[in-house]
Amino acid sequence: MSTAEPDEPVATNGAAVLPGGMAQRPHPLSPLVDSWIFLVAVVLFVGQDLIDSDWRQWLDRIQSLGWYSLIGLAALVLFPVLVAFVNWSTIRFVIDDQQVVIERSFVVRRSERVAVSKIQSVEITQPLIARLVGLAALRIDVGSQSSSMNIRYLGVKQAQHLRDYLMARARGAQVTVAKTTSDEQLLLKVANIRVLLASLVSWGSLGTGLFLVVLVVAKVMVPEQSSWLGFGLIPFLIGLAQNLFSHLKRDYNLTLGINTSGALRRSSGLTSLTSESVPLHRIQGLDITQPLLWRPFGWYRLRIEVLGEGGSDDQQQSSDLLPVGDWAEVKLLLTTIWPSLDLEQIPMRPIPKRARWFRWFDAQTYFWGADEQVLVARGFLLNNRLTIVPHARVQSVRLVQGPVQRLVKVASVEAHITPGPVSLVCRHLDAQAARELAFAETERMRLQRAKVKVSPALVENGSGSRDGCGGVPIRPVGQ
Amino acid sequence: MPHPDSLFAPPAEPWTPVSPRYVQVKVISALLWWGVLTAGAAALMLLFFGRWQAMLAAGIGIVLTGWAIWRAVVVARSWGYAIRQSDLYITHGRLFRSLIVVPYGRMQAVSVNAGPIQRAFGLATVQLITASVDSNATIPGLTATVAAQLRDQLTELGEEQATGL
Repeated sequence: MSTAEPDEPVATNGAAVLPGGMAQRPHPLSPLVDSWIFLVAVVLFVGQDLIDSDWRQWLDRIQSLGWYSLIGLAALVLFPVLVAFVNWSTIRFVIDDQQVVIERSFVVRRSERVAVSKIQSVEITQPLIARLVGLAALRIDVGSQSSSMNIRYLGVKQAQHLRDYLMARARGAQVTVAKTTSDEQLLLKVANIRVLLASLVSWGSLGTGLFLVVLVVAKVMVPEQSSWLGFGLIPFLIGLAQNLFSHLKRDYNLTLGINTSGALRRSSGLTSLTSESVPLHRIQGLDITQPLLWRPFGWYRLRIEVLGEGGSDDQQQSSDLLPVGDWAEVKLLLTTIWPSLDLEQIPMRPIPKRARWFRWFDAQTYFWGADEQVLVARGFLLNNRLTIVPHARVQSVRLVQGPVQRLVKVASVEAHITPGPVSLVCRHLDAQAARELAFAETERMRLQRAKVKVSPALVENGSGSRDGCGGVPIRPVGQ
Repeated sequence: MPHPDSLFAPPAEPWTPVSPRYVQVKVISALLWWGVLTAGAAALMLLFFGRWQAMLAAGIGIVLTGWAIWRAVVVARSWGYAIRQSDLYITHGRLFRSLIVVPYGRMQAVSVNAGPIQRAFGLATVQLITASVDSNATIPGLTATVAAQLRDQLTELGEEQATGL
């Protein structure tokens, strides 16, 4: 497709292509943040040496080495720091009203540019050291086919200002870099206790608890043999602690906010603080899951699907919008993301009883439904999942039927969206209903796409013409 | 001709079939694949056991190869596509049937490929690439001219109706 603006970051090995604006450099302290570990190692090494021996002896030893070898040694030891410094001095970037250009000329000349309107999401990360110094790394996500662009490091305020500007532009607002204001409304905070408890309430910890009970019983019954059982418990405990810590590390002090320019922001982190911003209209779909163990607590997990870099760690963070929350919080997020969506009004239809041939234990939990804007599917027993995908975001629709399904006269319908954790499949529908759904879905897709073309943001003033088929209205998942 | 099952019937006009030479392509690949397996199994049997075991292995192998060839013929004949106003419909399969609808507005790229066997028969596969990896919208077994025509037509339609992500 040919457009006037560049589609994806174009990396060229050519001459400098910075537009005639003011090129900026990352913050001067950046090389220190990058190579702090070497500096610390050097200081420790020298310090230890100094402490071990008398300072006079130490001076004598230094002098005996001679000047040249001393300089050579210093250069060798400080080499990584020097490299980081040179690297920093060769990076230039420009963020102006049209595009973002980053140019690096350390060893290999590389220039990346992307049009501001193509930006999918922006992330501000503050590793621990950067946090101490007051710096932040800016990461711009463009799409799954190209890698993200990084600027390491900028001052925190500058990074936030740039992020707000990019988010406003991504939504199509006509702002300039200088005139961006950021008005943010806090949506919700997740208590750390809840994150801790939620990661404890899992099958793994249940298993460990059971093991513990067995151990205690064994100790009582057979005192002399049970010491080795205790050793067997240790890996379980370690695994549990690791799991707990990783959840806490990622979701410590989790806050969600919404910007007036229509960007959702998720910030969390224990040592390294990460703040991810997603424009609302880049959300391709979402799902709300509730593992069986969380039912008595009424906890849910909300995940969104955003087109972005598919690194496993990064994607986990941005897609797990609300790792644990109650139904009120889930509803709040839903109304924020899609204000015109009324989940309770969508009539949900069950699947035919013959589907029990495939899912004998949870066929009764499968429902599907659609209204003018979204397609909804619900199912599973052990991990109850509700998936919502707007018609405007569906890429393709597939109707499938296997041989056993053909005997039973059922079929499945898949609605494909961008790759990620969220996927929508309506399983084991009555065959004719499946075909109708597939064709109706293509029609709805076409209508919604036409609307999206008119205004870039997902239409938020939908009027309510629902799929009238007298089905069961949806209840909150699991209640 | 794709199957007459009403569930996978075309939306309006009948399915456009792919080239009949595609059947030969599939038969040759099935023959190669299963033939080599059969020969290998029979040789192993001969080496380690004896003539009777080798003949048994060869017999089973031949039966399986025959089944694979029959299946290849049936599956190759089941491919069909339909170009409608705003979507492309593709169907295939006999045992596991599938019908996929891809809107032109969602197409990001169209690619034409041909493996060695297809090339020998002058055929190619047209693939539509969307933002979703699950789409998997391919039409194999098209003659080179039809493939080129389809590619140009789809590219034009895609550009006209393109929608952003």
